[in-house]
Amino acid sequence: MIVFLLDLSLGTMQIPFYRILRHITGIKSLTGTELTIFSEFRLPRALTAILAGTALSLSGLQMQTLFRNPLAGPYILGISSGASLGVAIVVLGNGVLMSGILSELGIVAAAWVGAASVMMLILLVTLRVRSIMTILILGIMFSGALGAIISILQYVGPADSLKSFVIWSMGSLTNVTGESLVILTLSVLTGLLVALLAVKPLNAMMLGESYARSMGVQVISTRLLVFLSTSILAGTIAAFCGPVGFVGIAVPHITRFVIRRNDLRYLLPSTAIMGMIVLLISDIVSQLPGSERVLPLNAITSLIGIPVVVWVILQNRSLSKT
Amino acid sequence: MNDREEIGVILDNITIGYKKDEPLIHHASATLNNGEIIALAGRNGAGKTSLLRCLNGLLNPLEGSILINKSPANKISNRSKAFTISYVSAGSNWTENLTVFELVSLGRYPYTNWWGRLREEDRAVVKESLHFVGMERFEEAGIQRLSDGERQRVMIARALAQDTPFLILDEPMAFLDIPNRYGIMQVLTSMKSLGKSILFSTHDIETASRFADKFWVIHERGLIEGGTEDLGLKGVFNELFRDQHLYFDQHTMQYKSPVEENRSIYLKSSDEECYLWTERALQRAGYSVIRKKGDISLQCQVTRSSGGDYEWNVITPNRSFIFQTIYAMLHYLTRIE
Repeated sequence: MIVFLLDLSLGTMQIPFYRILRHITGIKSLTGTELTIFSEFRLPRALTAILAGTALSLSGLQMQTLFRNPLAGPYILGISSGASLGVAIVVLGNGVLMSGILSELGIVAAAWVGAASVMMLILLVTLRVRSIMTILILGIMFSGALGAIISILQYVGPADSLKSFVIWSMGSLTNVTGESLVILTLSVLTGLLVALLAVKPLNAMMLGESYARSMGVQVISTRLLVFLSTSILAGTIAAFCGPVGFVGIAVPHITRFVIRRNDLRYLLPSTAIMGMIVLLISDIVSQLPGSERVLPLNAITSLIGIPVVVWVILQNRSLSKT
Repeated sequence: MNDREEIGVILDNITIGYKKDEPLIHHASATLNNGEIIALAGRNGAGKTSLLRCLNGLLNPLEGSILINKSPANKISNRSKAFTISYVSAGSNWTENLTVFELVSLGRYPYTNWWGRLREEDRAVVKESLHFVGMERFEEAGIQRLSDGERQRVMIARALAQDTPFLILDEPMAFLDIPNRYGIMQVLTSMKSLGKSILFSTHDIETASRFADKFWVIHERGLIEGGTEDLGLKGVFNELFRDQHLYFDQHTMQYKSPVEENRSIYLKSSDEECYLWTERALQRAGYSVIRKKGDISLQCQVTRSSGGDYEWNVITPNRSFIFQTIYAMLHYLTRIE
């Protein structure tokens, strides 16, 4: 909550903390420029940060639990690669074909279509392939292949489109306003609801699939639920905010470290809250309070995320020794 | 009588394997019921785990059918199977940050609501199960801190919390020391007194034969079913590793490897315990140990020194030596050969 208010307050132009508090509690409204900045930029951005933080960290948590692999993340199955390819085709391909100016919504739609087609493919594979490890490897291979196509498009695409694509791929929380914010909220809530349905079977799967089956878990339908939830959550965020990295891998680990529990009934809500906090902080940092410049969001989340991932690897090694 | 026979888990002429033309087990029939403990034995790769996986619905038999309380296993949903058979797999799992209580409460999975909320009665069952395996003091402990023996008990408590008439355990005694093996077997025995039927696979025929009512032995792609002692009497245990030159010693209930004995030694000791240990050492070195003094040229006499320590006196036709340890004596004997 405090971080949320701080995020509202800080930025290129600072609005004093107490005035925001007064505005929200209805004691004294902001006026003029401050009001515009607050309601047109700061508030949507902070809300987006909250939604994206929740969505990414939850889908990361689900992937790590399902694959029983601490390094799995929301994009491991190629969701963001799908979104990126969608955007790349529209932005870069468009440059080649007709060089028109694209609307924000066009990019979002392209990313949506990309992510959704990858999701359909994953669900199909899940129905056919029994081994979870095979699914994981197929996902990684697939996202590698998509990456290759993207780099070809980048290579042949015109320079100015290339720049806008690169900027998109750096991630941003600023593009979501008005109607988009409503769509984003609804999608994240849907993904969250599906995630909640998968909590109980995922808990049982912590002991491995043999145990899960012996307790009556429908393993295939659980996988479908989890992939559906992850795709909705990660796909939506990739579409609206670009492929924001590392939050999904790092936040579940930070949360486990803080609450020291693996029971998803506690871990899942805590991870969601932790995801909000981390992304709000990342956003504050990327706005570089007090300066005119803005840093790309992905750089910040990576700078926060990478040390955590490194720490997890080192920690795991010492755990396996004891 | 007939009714009673049909309740339980029945293997009806099943063939198990991963390839049709080279099955692991051919046309096996057996029954698990009556609140008995059954040990499943067989060599590495004989198909013990595959058989257990079949019973558990994780694998389908190539031929034949498995009947669980009269209905074919492949027609029963996972969910209703979860009320009938619980399972403890071999080996440990990747899980951290889970307390013993939380792990055992996963056994209540089939009984809880969509969110997995534990009701008072679920909590009571979990506590009871932990108490049953003697782990109630560890309720709040993290599972990563448990020893292998404690972990196995907790996994059994989880299966117990699932509250099923049948329990299947894959290698519950693997990696455990002898007191823990006996501990686990005692837990299984007291579960039998709750009326549960238990099937577990094992390589430890010695320990298992002291507790199991029946054995299922997988041998040469067949499944032999019978009372523990009946199978012993028929020489089934002896047959199991015969081609590996192992025999089952009926006295000690242990598998032994026959050592080539090419020399004889006369051993004399007034102390029976010392006699047994010395005999063991000599047999290991390839001596056949004789209790009666005949015309054997090599002798070993155990005496006590004035300080009360054992001394081993080795006498050959032309010499005699005194050793302070069995090890030193054996070292000398292998040198003079």
